[in-house]
Amino acid sequence: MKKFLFTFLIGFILLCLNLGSAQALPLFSRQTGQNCVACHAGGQYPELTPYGRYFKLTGYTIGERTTIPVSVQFVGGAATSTNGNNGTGQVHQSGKLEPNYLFLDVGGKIFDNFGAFSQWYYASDEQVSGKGSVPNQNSFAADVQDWRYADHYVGNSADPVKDIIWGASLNNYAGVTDVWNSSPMWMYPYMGSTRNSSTYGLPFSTRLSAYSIHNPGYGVYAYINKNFYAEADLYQSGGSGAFSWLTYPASNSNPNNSPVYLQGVNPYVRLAYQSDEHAGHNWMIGLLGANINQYSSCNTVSASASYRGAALTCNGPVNSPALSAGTVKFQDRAIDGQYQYLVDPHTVTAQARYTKENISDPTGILYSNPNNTTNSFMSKVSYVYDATYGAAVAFQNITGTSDTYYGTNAVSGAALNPNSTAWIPSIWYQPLQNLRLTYQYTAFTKFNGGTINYNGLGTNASANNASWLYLWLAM
Amino acid sequence: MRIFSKMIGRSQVASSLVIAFSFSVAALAGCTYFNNIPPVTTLENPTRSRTLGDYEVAGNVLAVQVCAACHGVNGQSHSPMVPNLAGQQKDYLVNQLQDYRDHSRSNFYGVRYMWGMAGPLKDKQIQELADYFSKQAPMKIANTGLEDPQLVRGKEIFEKGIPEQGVIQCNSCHGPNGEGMATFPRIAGQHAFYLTQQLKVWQHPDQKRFMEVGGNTWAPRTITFARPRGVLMQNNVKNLSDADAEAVAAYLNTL
Repeated sequence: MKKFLFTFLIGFILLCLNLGSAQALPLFSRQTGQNCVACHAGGQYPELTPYGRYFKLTGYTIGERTTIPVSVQFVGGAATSTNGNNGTGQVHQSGKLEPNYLFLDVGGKIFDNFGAFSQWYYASDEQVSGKGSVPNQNSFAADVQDWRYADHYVGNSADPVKDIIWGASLNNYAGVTDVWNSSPMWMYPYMGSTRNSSTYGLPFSTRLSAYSIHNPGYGVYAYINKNFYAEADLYQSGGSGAFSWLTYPASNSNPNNSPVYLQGVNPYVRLAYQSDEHAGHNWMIGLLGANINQYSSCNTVSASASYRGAALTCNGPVNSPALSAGTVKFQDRAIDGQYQYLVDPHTVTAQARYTKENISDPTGILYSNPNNTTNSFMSKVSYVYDATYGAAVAFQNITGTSDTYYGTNAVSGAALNPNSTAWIPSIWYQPLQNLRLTYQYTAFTKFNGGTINYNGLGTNASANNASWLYLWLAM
Repeated sequence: MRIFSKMIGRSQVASSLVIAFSFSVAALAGCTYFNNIPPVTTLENPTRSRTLGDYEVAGNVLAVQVCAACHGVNGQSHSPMVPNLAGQQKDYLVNQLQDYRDHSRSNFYGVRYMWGMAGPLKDKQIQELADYFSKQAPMKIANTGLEDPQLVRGKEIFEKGIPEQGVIQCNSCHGPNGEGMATFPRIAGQHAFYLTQQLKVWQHPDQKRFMEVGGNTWAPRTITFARPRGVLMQNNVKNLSDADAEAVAAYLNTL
């Protein structure tokens, strides 16, 4: 009965949407009455065109407020790896077609100056972090939240500042507020399988990268003359406070989903220069930075072989933060850039980001060395013809100091390093703008420090290769 | 649910039918209710609003807050796909916005971008928008390479037409310098890519495409590209070759 009611409810919503007078889906498209390609470069979601960037920076407020501000996305597909059970021990890849995600999007224009991009998901058979007994499970979660207030002043030609957009955002990931696709949260690959993390690329990433700093945050931004962009946000622990819904269902007592515990407020800063558009070309160059001081949970610390701090005083739920153990400090500094050429029927886009990271872990909570560094380079170039046929390739590379955090060689016992290199080509076909069929392959030429037998167990980097065929549908 | 079962005894089928029927009635009633909610006015900031379809937002506010995102605050766009509106004839702008609104102008980009933008506009806003953009100083690019054979050919077509192909000189309607008059648009200084796209609409009046319409991702349909007000153009450019269309567009861009 429950299932029936759920199906009925979804059906009812969709029926209503179809009966709407000349209204469309998904949500933002209904709000502006424009096609998806107005905001998305060549229809390769979630990449933004200059107009799409403007739409987001002005708080999703262009257009008419919709009566039913909801849309749904479905992602399903088949993921396999070279040896069926790759180096990360994932055994849930059947290679069969299976559902991965059901996204629920709400928001859009709320008031003149206030709007939201609020995405929730139901994931099937997802790999979960934490120390629960279930390696994979279904879960409903707050995915991407960006609730923003924005205003836009346009001056006359005598004003020194002719055009300024300013605003404030409440969000749940560092980088989620960004409008360029070289930024941590919005870079290719745009979709991965719940069952194989290789489909997302590198096994190790810097702290300031996709889905990494998952905490309630709030910040302000300004965009001057459509050239200069500056933003600063502060991220803190959600805990059980008023903002805990932003990181649902993470909680101290959920063994498979522990919150990210941050010490105090943690700054994230973004600066960018966006060129004017000329003859269909536009480019951006920018800087990113974040300082993250992070506690671990009592579970993590008590299981840590490298911990050398004061004796733990932990009581309470399974994932309570180990406050007495101190923090791991991450300092990330990045430079990024983007290029776009958008003249029908051609769409050419390219992004790159280089990140330097210093990690300080004096008490050995996670790392055996008190100080570690990583350098990572992420890039991607893509071509789309007529917003229908697309191809992309990504090159990702990370290097860093050796540390037991990255594992140890099974034979010599030496600490491994994160050094990994991945190539991620993909091709896609998008017959309608809300329907995309993609084949994406991840090839590792280096993984966790080596190409051949990187862990002493005879595993080669290529054993982690993954292919991922998926269908993406939005309504 | 129990009430139904009592009423009609033990027949599972019948009861499910009744349930399904009552749900459908409820659904239809519900939808009717939802779809008739008037759009809520949320004008906290009418002088800087991006709300479409609200009578209280002045045209010049929409021009800088919404239209300018693509057409430029001074009506000079940065993308070859988006026409310059600066100094465009006011009557022409009024006509085109009305045609987008009632979907009679159905060229590819019109359907893709402009049906949604113009759909909710009020008559007063259309007048104000046309007023705003027609008063902007027109685009003028430095005219350099007139020795370019393509531009020479373009100039020839603009001033003399191609009589043997039935192509009338453009300047007979669009003004001696392509500045347009009344409902005849300014074509001087316009992006060559945009002009070529529009010429194709009249050159191939049977062009069709199966596409999404005005943001309605769930109801794609076949659109025949048309610009009915420009039907005069059909005979003029019927025999215009692609190379000549590009030549005249390139030349107009330099005017």
